Amino acid sequence: MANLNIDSKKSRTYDAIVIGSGASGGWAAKELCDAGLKTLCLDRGKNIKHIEDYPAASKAPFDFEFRGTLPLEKRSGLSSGRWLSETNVQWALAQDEQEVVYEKPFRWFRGYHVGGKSLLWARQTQRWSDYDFEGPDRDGFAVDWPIRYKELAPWYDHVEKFAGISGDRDGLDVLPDGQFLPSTELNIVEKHFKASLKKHYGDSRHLIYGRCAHVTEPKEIHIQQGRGKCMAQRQCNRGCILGGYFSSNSSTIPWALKTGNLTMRPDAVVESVIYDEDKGKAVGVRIIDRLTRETIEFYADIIFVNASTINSNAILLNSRSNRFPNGLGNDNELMGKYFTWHNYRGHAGATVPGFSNKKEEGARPTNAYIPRFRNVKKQETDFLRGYAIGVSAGRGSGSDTSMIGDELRDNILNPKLSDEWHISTWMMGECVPVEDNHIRLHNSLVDKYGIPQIVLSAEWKENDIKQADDYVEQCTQMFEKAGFKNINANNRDTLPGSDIHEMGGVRMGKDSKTSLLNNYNQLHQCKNVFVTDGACMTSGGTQNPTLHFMALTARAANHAIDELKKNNL
Amino acid sequence: MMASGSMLVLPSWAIGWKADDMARMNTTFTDYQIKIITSLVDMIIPSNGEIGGLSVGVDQYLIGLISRCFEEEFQGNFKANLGQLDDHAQEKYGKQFSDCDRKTQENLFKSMKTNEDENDEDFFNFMKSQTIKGFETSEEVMVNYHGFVLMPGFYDGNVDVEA
Repeated sequence: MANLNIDSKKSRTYDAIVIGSGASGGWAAKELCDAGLKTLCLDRGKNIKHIEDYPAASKAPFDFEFRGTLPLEKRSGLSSGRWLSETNVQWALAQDEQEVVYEKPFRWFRGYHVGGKSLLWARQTQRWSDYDFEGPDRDGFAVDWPIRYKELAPWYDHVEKFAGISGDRDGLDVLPDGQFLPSTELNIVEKHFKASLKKHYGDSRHLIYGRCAHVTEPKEIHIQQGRGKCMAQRQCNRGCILGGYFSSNSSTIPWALKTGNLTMRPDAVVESVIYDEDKGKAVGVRIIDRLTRETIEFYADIIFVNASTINSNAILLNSRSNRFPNGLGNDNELMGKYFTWHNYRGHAGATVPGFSNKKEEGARPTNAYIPRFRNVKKQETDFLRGYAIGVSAGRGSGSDTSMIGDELRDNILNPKLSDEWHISTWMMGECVPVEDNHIRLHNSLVDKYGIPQIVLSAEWKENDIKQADDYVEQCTQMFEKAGFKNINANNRDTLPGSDIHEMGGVRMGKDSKTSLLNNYNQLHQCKNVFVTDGACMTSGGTQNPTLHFMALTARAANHAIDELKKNNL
Repeated sequence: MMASGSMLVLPSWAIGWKADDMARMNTTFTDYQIKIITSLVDMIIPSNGEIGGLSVGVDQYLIGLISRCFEEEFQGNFKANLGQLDDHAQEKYGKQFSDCDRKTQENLFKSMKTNEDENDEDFFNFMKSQTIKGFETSEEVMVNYHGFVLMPGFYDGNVDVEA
């Protein structure tokens, strides 16, 4: 029997374990496998194979029997029934999958399947600049980031070349340029707005093409991944059969599988990371099989925690031992605190007179973007930090359907171009992380796997509300200067978390007293555990964060590989 | 005497069904309720000789949608409203709803919108909006009339509008 146990343990032993297969976990798996490490990648959800597991992809509305409405039998047991449809039901969470205690109202969107939210993201990929990295230090919140732009820049390059990022070289210090594939030209109204900003605000406000993870012109590296040109289907969140946008499923996971070094293990709910007190390091991961409820241990020299921000916090908090009674690497008890997200409270819309002789044709996968302009070089307002703005102008068409009969039919068959173009913008603000916004584990309640329930305690703070008020004011002013009419700008009391950009809780920093992770995303107190998803964020910036997570991951994975070679882990 | 054992006896109205009518087998609607739905679709979006609600299968879409995607309570209300339309037709005109001329059907249907009962207004709005949706999202309308292309592969935001 003893031998059998040893064999069994051997078969569950790898060089590396990656918890989570979303954008950052996929990158960890790819880098580790490329370096020859036998890697186990765990995901708590079902497997999703590129192309073959995208049942709603490349379908028109008339390809669905009920035109997208879900039949009752497909709806039962699922949460968030309101916006479920045939196009997204396969990502829906079973109602009892993971009970959460929302101590304050919060919207937590979870992607529990292989590929995670990399299948569902907005695909916007803007780099950070040192104005973002230096934020906490300059403005006196959180702790100083242990790295700066120059340390991450080569990893942005590395990730961008492989993922395929479409963009313009705009030459802006607030938003450094990257490795770009061709962009799509802005439309006539967006160009007008751009020119108006230039005229009225000089070099302080810019409107650019929003850089996005779409292959607009496949290079050799994308062809090797089996990915093709984005054809602007605009159904990205169903999965793309062309691999036109970056997801773990279309890119990093199949790449890692091709090395022969990757083992994908879906249906693996991670309970904790196993810490060995004699060795003074983590030795593996304990999972509960989602389907059989069997507890299984896997072992490895290094562990990457990429379970998505809130779950990465929860797993580490639940990794208790005599040495770490409060959670792995959590002597300072800061884990779970300084949880943050992005301020999406502000929205604005307006009509655009003067372009009635112009219209759009075709489609595009992205929108325009105004990088942060508030408090960039110095503090200018009564709130900290600033916001970027997403911008999209278009000219729709529609039909008057107020009647019944022949006229209704004829109106529907002959839709009319709207009289005017419309422009809409949305705010993407940096929330200042505060200790009080936090993730913790419940003392007694457990979920159906017996894992302590997560308690989310996070709310908007005064700074967020002031920042959104400023967006309303500034956006209105920018619209007025551009000649837009019927301006409607609002600071809406949306649920925090609606941006789906959860960050922090296991922050990076310079020392183990005030942070959890070092400059290479290693737990200060358990160096063979790397946390490189959103949980590692010291502060949030204004950029959609996925590109940042991927670059940090690639950098940390390569450091891990080097350290392993030097026998330092 | 009943036909023996396992033999399925089809009601007389089922004789002569077309293949696509077989979708009706999955519904709890009676033949007459289906007839009212058909009349409503034909009244809301009549054919111009080339295309209309019925020619693109909006009736089938509605029958499937209500039977498969809505709870029993909703189905019950919906059927009660169909019955109500017919009752009104009988009371006012001494005819079944589906035998009334289109103008009369339209007036009966529109009166649902102004009834005090919220259910009636919901019925009017649901029936009209779903008939429009079924028509607008049909392949015929999307492809032949609205120029639907799944993969445009280009964008031009500066196209002249033809005068």
